[in-house]
Amino acid sequence: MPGMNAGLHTNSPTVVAAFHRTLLHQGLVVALLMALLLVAWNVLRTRQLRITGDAVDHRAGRLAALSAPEPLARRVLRVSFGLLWILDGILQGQSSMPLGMAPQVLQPAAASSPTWVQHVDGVMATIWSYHPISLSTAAVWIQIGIGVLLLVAPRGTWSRLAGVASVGWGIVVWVFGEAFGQVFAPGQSWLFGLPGAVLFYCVAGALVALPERSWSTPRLGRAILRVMGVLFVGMALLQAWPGRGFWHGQASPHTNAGTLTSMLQQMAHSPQPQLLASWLSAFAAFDAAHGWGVNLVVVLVLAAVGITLLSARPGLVRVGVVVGIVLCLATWVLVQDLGVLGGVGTDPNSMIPTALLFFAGYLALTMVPDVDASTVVAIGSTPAARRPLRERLALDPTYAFRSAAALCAVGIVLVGVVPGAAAAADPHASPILAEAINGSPQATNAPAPLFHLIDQYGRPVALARLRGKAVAVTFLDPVCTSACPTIAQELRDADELLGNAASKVELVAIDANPRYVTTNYLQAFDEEEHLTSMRNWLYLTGATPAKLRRAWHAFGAYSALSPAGAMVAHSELVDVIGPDGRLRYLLNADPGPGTEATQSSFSVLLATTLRKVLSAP
Amino acid sequence: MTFRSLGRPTSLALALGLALGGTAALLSTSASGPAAGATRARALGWPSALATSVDTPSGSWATVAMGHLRQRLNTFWQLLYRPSASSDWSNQVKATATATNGGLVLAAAGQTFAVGVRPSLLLRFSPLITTTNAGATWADGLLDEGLAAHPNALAIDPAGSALAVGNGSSSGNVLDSAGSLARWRTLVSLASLGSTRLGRACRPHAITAVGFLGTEPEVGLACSTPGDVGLALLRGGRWTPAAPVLPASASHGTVSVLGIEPEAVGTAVVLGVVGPQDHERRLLVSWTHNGSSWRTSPPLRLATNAEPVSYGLAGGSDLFVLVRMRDGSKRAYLDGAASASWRPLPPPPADTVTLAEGPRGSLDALGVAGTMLRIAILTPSAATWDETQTLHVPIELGSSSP
Repeated sequence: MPGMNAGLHTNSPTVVAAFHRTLLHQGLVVALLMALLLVAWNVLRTRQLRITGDAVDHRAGRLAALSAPEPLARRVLRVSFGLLWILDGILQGQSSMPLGMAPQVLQPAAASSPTWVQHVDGVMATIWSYHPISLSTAAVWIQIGIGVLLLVAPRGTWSRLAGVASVGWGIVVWVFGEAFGQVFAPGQSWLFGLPGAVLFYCVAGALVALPERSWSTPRLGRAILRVMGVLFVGMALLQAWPGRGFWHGQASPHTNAGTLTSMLQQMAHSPQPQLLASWLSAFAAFDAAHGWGVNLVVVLVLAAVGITLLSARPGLVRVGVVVGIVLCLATWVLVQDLGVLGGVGTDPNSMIPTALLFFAGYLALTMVPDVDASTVVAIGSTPAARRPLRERLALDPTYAFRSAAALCAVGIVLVGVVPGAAAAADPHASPILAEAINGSPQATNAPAPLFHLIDQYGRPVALARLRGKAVAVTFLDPVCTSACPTIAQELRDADELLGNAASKVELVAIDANPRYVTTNYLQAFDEEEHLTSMRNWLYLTGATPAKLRRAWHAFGAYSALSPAGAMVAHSELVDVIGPDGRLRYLLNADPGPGTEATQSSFSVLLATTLRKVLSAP
Repeated sequence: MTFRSLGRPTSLALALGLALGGTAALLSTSASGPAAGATRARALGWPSALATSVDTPSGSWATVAMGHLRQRLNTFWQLLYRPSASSDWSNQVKATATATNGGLVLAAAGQTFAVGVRPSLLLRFSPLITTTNAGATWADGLLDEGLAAHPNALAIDPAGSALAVGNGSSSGNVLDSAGSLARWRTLVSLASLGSTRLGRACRPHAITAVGFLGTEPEVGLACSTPGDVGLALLRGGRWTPAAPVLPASASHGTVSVLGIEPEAVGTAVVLGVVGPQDHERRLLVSWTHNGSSWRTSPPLRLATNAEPVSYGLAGGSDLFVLVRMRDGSKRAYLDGAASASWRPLPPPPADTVTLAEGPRGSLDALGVAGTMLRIAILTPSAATWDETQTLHVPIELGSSSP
């Protein structure tokens, strides 16, 4: 019945099952990669043992002693953001991601941003809605792969490549997933995640990608903390700006709640452990009563932390870092709901990355590697990548394993990138959407009902005349306002998808409205839906309403006038008849939400079914 | 590892400047959100008072919106009918056999009654149905573009001709049909009217109503020139101005022809005047039998934020106007051709959406609350409206949603 569609729910069992199936298949590929890694490692290790004698071992030990350990600050960044990427990848594996990502993450993120941001993000939302499975699994493997690469490659080219990959993917997520961190949206605040969690991933990735000699002086740490200081002072000013709703709580339940109170109340009602919900509720109540005071404290602490970081005085910086980290953790728990609770969480939000950058900046400032300049120069000027493999294997006992592991991590990334990119380049939606709404085409084998009707130009048409072609028969109301125009477009798109095979196919609609049976209504519908140029399109009606009714009954279709100004209720089916005149498939044609994605998906499913019928013996 | 001394503060001022600049940029982008300027003046416009009624010798027809009126796709327009001999109304909207979310436009001439269905959602043309036997049987017409959202966007004359205001072109046009209501041709476009003598004076920005004065097509316009009334008759193959002279108190505002109501031997033209101040709004009715001599009512001055929600003919030649006041209450006025003056009626029930001719010279007030229709009657001698009927309309909410 029009408007009474089954819809497309976030946790559609069909889509979730397909998502899990794809993840499993790709997981097997990853497992295969890991097996290859073990073989490769074994081969390299064997070669390593063969080529290294005692003399080389001595040399290796000497050079290893000369090599400085990885700077602690860099290691903290690399390992922590590696773990964060892996966590994000795992979160991307939630069942609701394929269908929930676009409507619950991408579109809301951009909803309050300017139109141009919505346009930019709309591109990704559209692509995602066309290929929810491919892109969901791509996000899982890309993020896990980047995380693993960061973890297994502590030094050298692989490690810097991990940093670059982190920056690249982070920018993609920041722009499309977070709508530029919502920096262009009104009413945003540091408390809510401004300037976007993934921007910190990008910064961390960029720092990891820097040449290792950059970490040999406190200059880098000072720069990190100064940038953070500028950010915090800016966020304090933004938080203090009047008229944005942060300076008041909620005077009474009947008055408008302030921005923070309102957000807290909303978060407290999202699904999460009772303990956290009670904390959020308590803080919401506290903010409602003391909104001005809470904001004053936030503003002062943000400003104070920012200024201490900018001051560069050791004692002040230490205090600022500690206070900043405490503030981040408190905000993470009390305002950001740990980032992943409630709704479709794709990362732990901005506070943990911010705290990690504080910590890493402080370490980079205060704990620089204790190596002399000549070693630094030697390490910096003779990168491992330029040494022959034989020598690299000889110098570093862990080189074989790390190289193989890094290759495996790159492989994991490619497991996501390749199908994801292929899907993104495909302008036609996955048929899984149509199957999720209507189920798979139902195979059958029975004589097709015969009909004798007239087409949109008044010419008689009988099914027998169409023998030798595959025929798709559906029922359309020429004055329908939603479902029928959508189904008509799906048929038109399917016709285009068929290409040359369209000449062996006849697309037929039978008028489903018992009131409007004259050919001028059919022609008006064709004009409206741009169907007049389709050579294989027939829109049929009865010379009398009784003949039309007989055709409905023959196909098991129904049509009934609805009361109270609703559309006519009628069957939404497509019967696919083979060239031999036998009924081969039944497709439910409920257009569901009627989005471009579901429309395209149904077209692909119909075209595929018609091809199947044409190729059947 | 070793601890190094921290550097001296060097560029604190620069950093603070950066923070300030960044914040200012964020604030400036925040201010230019999508909501800015979203509600530009509908101030000079008039609401599309589609809820209305028409009379035929066999009975009264009315159309009202029901359902969830704040949701376009859950607003379903109903087609109501009361036979002359009865006081009970019944719902005949099933005859339209399509979704009525866009609204219905009614027209009548003698026993012929026509309904145009305004397009909505993905439908872009307007189904038309006509009856000459009080809805016992219906015939189909078809306007292959959408009817405009005006209560008099469709007109028929007893000879079988019809006029429609279509929205096929960006500026609107008038189409005519000779009889069947299935074949239409463009009679004149807004641009063409704008190039006539009338158009150059009036500078029309919309075609708002069509009607027949006798057999001559009549077109109403919304003018941009203050004091000018855009009303044209197709006489001798040429569009000629045929407009009343406004009283001095209404001659400084911009005038829109809100409706052209057919009466027994002429038309009643409803005029809306805005200005010279934006909040000053007045309604007038002008009556004519020939397009050259007019009898015009004094202006009915509307209170601030009050707006007309329905107007139409009732009782043969009386024209009613239903006005919603700022507090949601309704006021009703009658203006008769004989008196050409406004007569306030007892306040109708607050949920009244239109008035219609009732039995034996009475008036019916049709009130809507969700899916309930309430009828109240005002007999000629009564001082209050009495509820006579309630009707539950089984609306399929959600049935028009994609």
